Amino acid sequence: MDENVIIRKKQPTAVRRIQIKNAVLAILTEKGINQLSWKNIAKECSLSEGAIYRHFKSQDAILQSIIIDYKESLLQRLKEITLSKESAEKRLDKFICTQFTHLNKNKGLNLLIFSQASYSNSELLLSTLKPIFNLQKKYLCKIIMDGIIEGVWCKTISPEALSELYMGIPLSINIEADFNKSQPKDYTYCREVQSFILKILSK
Amino acid sequence: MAKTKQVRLSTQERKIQIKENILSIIFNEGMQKLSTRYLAQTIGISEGALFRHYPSKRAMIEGIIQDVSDELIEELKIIASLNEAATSRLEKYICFTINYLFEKKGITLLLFTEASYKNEAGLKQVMSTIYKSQKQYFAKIILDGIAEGIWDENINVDHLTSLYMGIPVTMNIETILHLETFNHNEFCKQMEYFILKVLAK
Repeated sequence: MDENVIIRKKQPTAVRRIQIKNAVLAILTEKGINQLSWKNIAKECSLSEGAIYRHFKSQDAILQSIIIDYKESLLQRLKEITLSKESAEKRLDKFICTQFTHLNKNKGLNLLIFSQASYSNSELLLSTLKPIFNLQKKYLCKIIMDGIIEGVWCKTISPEALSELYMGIPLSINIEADFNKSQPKDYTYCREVQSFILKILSK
Repeated sequence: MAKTKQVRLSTQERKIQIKENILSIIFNEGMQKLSTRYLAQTIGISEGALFRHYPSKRAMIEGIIQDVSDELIEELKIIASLNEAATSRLEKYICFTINYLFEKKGITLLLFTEASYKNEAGLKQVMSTIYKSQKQYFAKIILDGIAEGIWDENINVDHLTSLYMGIPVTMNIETILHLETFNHNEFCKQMEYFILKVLAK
């Protein structure tokens, strides 16, 4: 009860921004990206369109801010895994499972944002997404290279190409879930993906 | 007389041109930019002339999706049922798909942004069929190879098919983000090699 009262009061910018982003996330995941309008966002977070505009100058700016949050939470973790002292195989295991768990939690959010970015050919969104995509690839490449150097994996494998193959998996899972109106394949699928990747890497 | 003949395309040619221009706008400028007015402008004809070939933008998009069914899906179906070794069919299957999608950049984007963007049931149904057919024919080749005794029978075919379906998607992203450095022939060979390695006994 108190909470409701508090929300209506004047809130610091940071809190407002989170509220707005949560409203956008709710629209994206529950109603679909084509329902994303200033009007719907305002309704979802019970603020006026003008109030939202004070925090974000465009819808792309809200999406960009969401991508940056995503980047901070997932990429930070993937980076730690990549740079840890463990064996390459162990790191690969953690890398894949962390990403899949994150994906399940976010219900294909990055795909939606990528769709939006390519739909509008938004320079702002594409330039924010590009380093995220590249970094994930780069980390995975590093783990694969390390394994090859450790001597456990096949040295004729191109880490770059294998990372590209890997990067498509979460996306196709999302697309399928979208078609089937179902939840993406669960956490156990990451074991299967991992076994494929390991087989490709085997000598 | 000769002059008008030069610019006057047959209905068939004009339709192809319209569809090509749509894909180019989608890939280079984004779906949002795609209005019939702008499209007519890029072709150099009037909007009215455009509508003589297609009654609406929707009809144009449907025309492109129909092409995907006729040119890609039909061909994949043929490849999958060729009287050849599974390995050879697999190679053709992967390379045909990649070449087709690379030639017609904008198709993957059209297919998957339309699907997630417009929650339109009819369109989504067609796209879901396109997606599922690709999976189904791919799975057929894999199962044939396992039956031939050349591939690992413990492979989860369904999961491998999902892995395969990531390939066109990842290629789409690579071409959007790094078109300058993307080499689709090399990409195709690499992907085929990986799939074969997963399948190896």
